Amino acid sequence: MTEIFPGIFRFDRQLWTQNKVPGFRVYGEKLFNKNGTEYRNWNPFKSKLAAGIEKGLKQFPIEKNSSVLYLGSAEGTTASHLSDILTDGAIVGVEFSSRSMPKFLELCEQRENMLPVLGDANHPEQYPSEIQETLFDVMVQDISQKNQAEIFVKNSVLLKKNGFGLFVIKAPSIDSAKPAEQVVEEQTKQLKPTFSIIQTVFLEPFETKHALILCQKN
Amino acid sequence: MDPKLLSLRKQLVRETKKHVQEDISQSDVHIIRSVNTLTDLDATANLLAENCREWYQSVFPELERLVANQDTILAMIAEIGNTADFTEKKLSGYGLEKDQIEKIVSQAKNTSGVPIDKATMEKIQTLAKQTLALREQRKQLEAFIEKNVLDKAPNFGNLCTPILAGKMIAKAGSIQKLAELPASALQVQGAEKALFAHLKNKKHVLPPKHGFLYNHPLVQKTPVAHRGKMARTISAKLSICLKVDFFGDKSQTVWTKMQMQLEKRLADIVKLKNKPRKNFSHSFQRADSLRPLKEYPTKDFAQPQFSKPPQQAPQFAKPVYSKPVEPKPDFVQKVYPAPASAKTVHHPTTNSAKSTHPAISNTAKPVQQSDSVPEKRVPENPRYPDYVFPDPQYPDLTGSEPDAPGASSPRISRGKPSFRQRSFSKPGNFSKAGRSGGNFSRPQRSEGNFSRPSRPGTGFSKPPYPRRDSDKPPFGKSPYPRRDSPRPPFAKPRYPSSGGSNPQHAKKPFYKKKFKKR
Repeated sequence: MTEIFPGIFRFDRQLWTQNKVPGFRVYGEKLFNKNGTEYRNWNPFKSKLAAGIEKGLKQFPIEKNSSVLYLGSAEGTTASHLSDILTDGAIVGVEFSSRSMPKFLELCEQRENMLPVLGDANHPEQYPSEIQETLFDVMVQDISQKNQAEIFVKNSVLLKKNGFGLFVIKAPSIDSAKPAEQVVEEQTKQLKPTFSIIQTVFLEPFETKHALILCQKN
Repeated sequence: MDPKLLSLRKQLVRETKKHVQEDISQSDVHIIRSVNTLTDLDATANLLAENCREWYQSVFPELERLVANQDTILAMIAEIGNTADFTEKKLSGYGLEKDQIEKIVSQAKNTSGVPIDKATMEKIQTLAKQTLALREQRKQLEAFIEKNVLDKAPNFGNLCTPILAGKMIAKAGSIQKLAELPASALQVQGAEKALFAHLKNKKHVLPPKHGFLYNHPLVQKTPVAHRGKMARTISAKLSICLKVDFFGDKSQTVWTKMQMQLEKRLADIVKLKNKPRKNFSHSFQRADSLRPLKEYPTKDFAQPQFSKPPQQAPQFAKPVYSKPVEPKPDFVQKVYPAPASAKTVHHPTTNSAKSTHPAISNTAKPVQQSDSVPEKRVPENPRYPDYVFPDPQYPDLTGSEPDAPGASSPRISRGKPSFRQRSFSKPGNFSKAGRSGGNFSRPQRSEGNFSRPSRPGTGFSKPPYPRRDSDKPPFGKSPYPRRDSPRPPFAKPRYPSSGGSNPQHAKKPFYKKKFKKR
């Protein structure tokens, strides 16, 4: 059991996070008990951040006391793992669909560091006022829309200076005919004025035509 | 970390719950879910009905052939059961004719099935009852969908049938999203696979004409060649109705007038039935139909179409001869004036063997007739009056590779297309399986489109097995003494032939075959 990043463990060639709510499974994942602590399996096929770590992300910016803004949290599969990692911090999950929000709300009621926001990431000015005033340490985005890069740049207002960004690009939702590398290049160009890019990772075979970009706000 | 954020949590949870409740109450979730259950109900009811009927085969197998409606069979199974109970009284309530009832009663006495005990019969009967209940549920669900759709979008629901409207709403996600779509998107909604196949390969795959609208009653009534027109008109009207329903006043009835307009459009389209289609191209294959195209424009092949006009032969000074030269037969000289241009091939000719073939150019060839291009070509074979012999002066026309120098256009025809051109149905012509199922046609390069591609070196694409004179073009004996086709410029030089058409014989003197070494 090695701790590759703060709060993320590797054991038996799989990724694990320490379960904040012992005995409870969020999406049917494996649980593992060792020396009294329970760990939850982090499936790279279901979570894009786990896929990025498996594909060789050199730096994982989320620490135990960081505040995270997660755009596109959906039912909270990845957000729950981030909440496991954050012993001292908080994670705000922004989601647009009212079908997946009830599940996320369940998680928020269980875990003390998860906050729900039902809103459109295209309009960060419509978030609750307290959230608009905070500056987050890390921003994670996993939204499959054509204007993904635009959304990321718009919400970077809420990111502190030299804060980190984890940006998942889904190439087919931008242009299904173009090759993924070309699409990713064009999206990185849009990010360049506000962010400096540290690493780009393609998520094959866990996800087809997806890429994860680790960047830092200038 | 931030105590502010952590204290916010409970408040935010409460607020988002309220937002979610508002969203759900405004959404079209009931229409979408009921449409999805409709398709699933159909599928499950069919499965169970099949099971039930198969099971009943052991009791009364002939019943399936005697009664057409599957639901009546299930009702009979549920209410009657064993063959002993098949009487005229009990069969009276199913809406059958007297002959049918008599047949069933008589057949019930002569079945190859076996009566079964009560417990097993009960199982079959409960299964039949459940299937009938599912069918009933489906009917009620249809009525429910109709009511809901006409409540929320009356114009849209009335113009296309409510079930179809429900399917389109389910696909889009909400009526708002549908209303924001352009009419062209409505036309094609449901045929995304075909649409993206077209967008990836615009040259060879045509876009779909209709998606869900295929099931619209008016589209079903139009002839197949003009369904795209109907789908387009309907989708245009539907988008107007949607906008009226969602952004405007629902109570406004706009659809009745549009229905009349659409029916008039149908009548107009039906009149167009015999008109040919514009912009037809062989190289296209519809993504949504795997059948090869059947229609061919036959009129285009009447005249050979050159991209550049044939050049006039250069005029040379007439040579002076000591002896008078015999005039050649008229028909030869008319068609083939002496080729004196640089394009012609110079074959190695010895003094002894001077072929009189006009295609081979001998330098000291007298030119008596004019060198100009013949205006009218003389047909050689009365059987194929449109066919003309290939001309060595225009080597392009032999159907050689389009990349050869001097090749004008790949599509050069000579009169009637040969029967071998219709090669779609032949197994050799299917390309690798692709989106169109492998059945798409390429622009025809060689004139004689045989199943094997033409090899380089043979300017005239020959049939694979020209064994008989009747197989050789132009399907008859040529008037020339020895050769039946001209030699393309890049072919190997012929050896001086002493008699036979096989050049191999010219290599060895004939006596050496009989000479044996000792």
